Amino acid sequence: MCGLSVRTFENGDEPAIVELFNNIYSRYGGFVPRTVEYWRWCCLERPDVERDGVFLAFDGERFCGYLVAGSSGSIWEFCVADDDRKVARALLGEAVSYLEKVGVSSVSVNVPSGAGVVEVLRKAGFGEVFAAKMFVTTLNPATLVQALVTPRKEALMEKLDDEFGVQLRDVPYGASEEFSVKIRSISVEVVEGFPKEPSVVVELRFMDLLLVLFGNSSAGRLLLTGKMRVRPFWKSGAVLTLLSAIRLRNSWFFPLSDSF
Amino acid sequence: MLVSDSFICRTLREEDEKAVRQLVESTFKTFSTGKFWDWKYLRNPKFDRSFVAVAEEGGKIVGCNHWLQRTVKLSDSIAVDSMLGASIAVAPEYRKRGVGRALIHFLRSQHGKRKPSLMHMFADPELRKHFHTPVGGYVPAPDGTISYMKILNWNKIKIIAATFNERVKRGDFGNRLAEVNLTVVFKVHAAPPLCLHLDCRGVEVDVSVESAEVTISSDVATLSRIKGGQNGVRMLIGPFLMGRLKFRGGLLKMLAVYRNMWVFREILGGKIT
Repeated sequence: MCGLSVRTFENGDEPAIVELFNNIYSRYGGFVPRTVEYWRWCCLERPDVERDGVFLAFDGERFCGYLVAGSSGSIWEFCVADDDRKVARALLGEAVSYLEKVGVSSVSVNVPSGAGVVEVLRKAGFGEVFAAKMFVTTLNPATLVQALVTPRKEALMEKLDDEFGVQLRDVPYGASEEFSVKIRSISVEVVEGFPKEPSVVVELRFMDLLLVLFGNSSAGRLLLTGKMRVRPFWKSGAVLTLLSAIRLRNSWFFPLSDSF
Repeated sequence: MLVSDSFICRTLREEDEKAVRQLVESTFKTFSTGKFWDWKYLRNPKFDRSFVAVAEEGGKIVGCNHWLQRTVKLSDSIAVDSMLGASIAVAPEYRKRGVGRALIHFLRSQHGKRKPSLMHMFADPELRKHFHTPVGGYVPAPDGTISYMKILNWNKIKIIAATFNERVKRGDFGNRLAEVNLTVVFKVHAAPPLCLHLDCRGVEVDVSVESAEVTISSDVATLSRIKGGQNGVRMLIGPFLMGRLKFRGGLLKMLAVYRNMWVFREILGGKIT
């Protein structure tokens, strides 16, 4: 480390901030990928954010972290390259002094579980709190499954050769009830509606499908408990292969700036 | 347009903005007056009036529901277009009449041809269980986010106590405080101690800690769970048994704390930080 310095926001810092955010959280899901336009709106133009509340840390010339603090007491974004605790401590120290000066009663921040900054927060007297959680659903299961299938296309084409007709029960108002996943040796297609002659028919509750796709439940358990029916039953292995390939495994993180 | 027996649901018009802003601000106290709704919606680069629904009865806006377009990352390599469901608000006198459900159904039916592949929202888990899941089929997103908080001072408690004392003076609580004379200190880990004195005049904040007859010790996480829970006193039992909530003081004074729990609920039950 060549010498750590912290300064407040200056016009033109936006592209570096956006790049740092997208790099640091690249292995997570659950957040809005930053563009300069989105970041300006969600941080800089936010009613409780002044430019004096946006801190940038530099190790010599290298930009290595930033923090956006609002006069409501929220730390809207807190990004530190390489999980560097010294940088995290420096930014947090500046932010807490600033927030004390503007007269807030408490400071809140969201961080990814297991991140190095967690330790820094604990040492600075922060405690874990009960907060709003993120929930997801879909109106179009076919396009959601399509998005999940696309990066796994090659692997699926190697392992499977089937047309799956999926029928969903207890579907919320406005959402589609049926879709098909057609996997052949040269293509994978996901289409809304039930296919004419599927080689496999899968029946399950709408929410059970979502729980499997978002990693909260396992397809095997649904099958064993009778919550998912596969016809013909001997094709169950193919269904489990498909669902296991497309289920999300990344941890999800959302900064406070995405949630309000 | 969706017509119910007494109200209609339709998309937002420019002339509705003032009423919608007021409704949202009165429902969500965290909204800063005026500016927050304008910033969140009108100044949002992706704001689209057709994604905001209002419920109207006799020319009056009685409910609203907002969708915001966003891109959301599903994993390291997948990002999809999503809709953030936000700021669903119904005027108090119109609640439990199906307005919220009708607003959600309206937006869901409006966009049938361009159904979003993902919808997301941020909510209290209890509200999600009783409203958003039955109506919209919401499930928990993969959870890798932890929220942390540090209490810097108890200034908001002083404001709440001043309002409470005005109500005591007006006689809103009869003589429920007539025979109370009790000093309690709350020691929350990593926060300054909060010492409250209760007597017939109401609640005094910031009295000397040395004069405290009962000490209640806990941490921010436990305090937050107790406040966030729905079951009142029952929420205290678990943390107490696990040693995360501690009481110290004479038995009679502890009983006095229990008898006057309603005062602490008045003072500490709202947004205290």
